[in-house]
Amino acid sequence: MEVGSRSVRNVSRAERASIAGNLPAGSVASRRTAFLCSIAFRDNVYLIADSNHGFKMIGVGELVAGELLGDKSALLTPFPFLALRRGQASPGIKQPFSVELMRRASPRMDLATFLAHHGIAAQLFEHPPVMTVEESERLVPRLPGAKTKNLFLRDKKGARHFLVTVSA
Amino acid sequence: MALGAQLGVGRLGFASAERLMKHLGITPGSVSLLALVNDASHAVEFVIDRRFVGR
Repeated sequence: MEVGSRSVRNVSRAERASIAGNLPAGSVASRRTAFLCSIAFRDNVYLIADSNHGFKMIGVGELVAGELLGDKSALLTPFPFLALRRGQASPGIKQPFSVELMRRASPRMDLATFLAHHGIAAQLFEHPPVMTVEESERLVPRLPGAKTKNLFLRDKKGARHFLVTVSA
Repeated sequence: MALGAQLGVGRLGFASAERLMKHLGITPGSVSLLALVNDASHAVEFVIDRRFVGR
């Protein structure tokens, strides 16, 4: 598997199509490129999102906290947490990044286009579509932080629904 | 104790892809905390393992 990193802006439409073409057929995810992005979500809330077909995984926590407290992390260098925090974001970034904007960024839209439109720098890691935690451990670059398994469950009557996050 | 019992709802099962789309607006394989942003009617209750809290 090739793992590359570059700005989403530098990935042309044709190139994205070519990346998608190399993925297994028959999957919804195969038509899209997966990539990670970081977003200043609200004051004191930062996230790293991995989009496969929709936002797939998030990482919040120790590494980001360290970065905010002044530790330099090579892994987080592409993510402009501190620049965003100090309002030094590059021209074109619209702040604050609101929940409403997140809502409009529905899982079905082209996330690369959305991020480029809002001037949000993202680091790209290419990987085949993954459906399970086991697959993600094999196919996705290793990232720091807690690994979680997210389950969408219902009660017997279908009256109540639960999103359950447990340790993977 | 089983999770369903802890939540006081009895047996829990996986919700269908249709319910996943209806309530969280995503397809199977995409389930994460972030999908809650799509649950405008607050139909989904969030449950997280205590080990992730307050570390």
